[in-house]
Amino acid sequence: MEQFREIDHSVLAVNDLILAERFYFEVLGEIIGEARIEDRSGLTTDEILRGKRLRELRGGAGSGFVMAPHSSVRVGETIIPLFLYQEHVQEPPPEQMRGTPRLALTVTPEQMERAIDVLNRHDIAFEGPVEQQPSCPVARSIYLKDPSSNFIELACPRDA
Amino acid sequence: MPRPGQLSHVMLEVADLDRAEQFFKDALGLEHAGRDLWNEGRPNTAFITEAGQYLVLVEVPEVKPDGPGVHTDFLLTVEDYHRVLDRLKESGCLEGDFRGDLGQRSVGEISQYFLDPDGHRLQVTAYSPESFQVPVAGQGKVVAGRIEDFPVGSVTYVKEGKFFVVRLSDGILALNQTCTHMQCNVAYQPEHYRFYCACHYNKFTRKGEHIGHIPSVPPLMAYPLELVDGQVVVDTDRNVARSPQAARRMVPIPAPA
Repeated sequence: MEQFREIDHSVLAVNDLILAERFYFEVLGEIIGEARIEDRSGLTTDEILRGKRLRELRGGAGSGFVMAPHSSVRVGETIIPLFLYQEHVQEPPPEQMRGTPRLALTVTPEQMERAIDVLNRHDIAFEGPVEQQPSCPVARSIYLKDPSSNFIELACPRDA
Repeated sequence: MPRPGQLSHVMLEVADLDRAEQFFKDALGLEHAGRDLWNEGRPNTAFITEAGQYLVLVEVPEVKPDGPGVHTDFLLTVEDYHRVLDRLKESGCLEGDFRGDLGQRSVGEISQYFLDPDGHRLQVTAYSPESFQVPVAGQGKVVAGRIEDFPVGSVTYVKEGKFFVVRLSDGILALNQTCTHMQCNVAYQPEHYRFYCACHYNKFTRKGEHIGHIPSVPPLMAYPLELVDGQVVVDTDRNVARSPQAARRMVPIPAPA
């Protein structure tokens, strides 16, 4: 059997690149302790704000792959590519903090403590810490959403 | 167990748990960790990577479509990548490599996009050892031209040796065309007086000094350059790694007698 070494990255669709960059860089960056903005798709802030498409590319008939304007924030060791989604899609209700699909970052108990402070200070709603059932590899979680309502989880592993 | 600051898990929605589980287990070949490890209020199944990260599939009545460009990438060794690719080919779910088609893959980087039964875009990627070293053009000593062919302020691409000759007021330089970030090829943008790499948007000055937002990218590699009877001779078999300080210096041109 092959070894899948790791999940290298998982892309998030966002409806505002500037807000998304700020959320991942400033808020998650402060919780994890390290963040930087990488790989912005050659666009200036002005171009991102205007939602200008750098290019639209389709790889073969009907594949639908679009190189939308994007950015990428590295939080700790996690690369989080952010792709601009210019269509309006149904978001989960504001009061719902937990759902799918979801991206979860590994945190230490100390980072989880800090998260509560940081999220409160930025006035960002969250749920938790929630204790997970014994079968779950995650011991404790905080659930929240990014400014585009993507579900995010801060996960403290069971054996940390 | 993933390290703090690494991805812990990625959770995707699927319409049919059995069908999805079979795909991720048999076609992709991920290691199955178990069912309903998570309490999501819905049936779920989890797969684990070597790093201890989980891919969790949750069965929902209706799968929301992903936004444009959304995908999840798995890292493999080169050998395993090819074995996985062979299996995926059989299942007929391959999409191609759009970035690769644009020349936005570095030396030694191989990648493939594919779709799972629920239409989620996934990707497998592998890096061979040459991904981590800047290759030389390996064309031996190349005569780029006469010194007069390179006026002050010019940047000239020498196709034969795959390098740039940069002539400024303080000297001359031969630069390797390979980006020192991830080994893609840089292009010279005369309108901005800089080198640009389309893979990760790295930029370099005409002397090859890195500018931009990605930290710790060293200057472009140089090739040894000598002036022999007015000819510019470049040794394309040997890279010269330069510190950011050293990158400010060029090969001086002696004043005409």
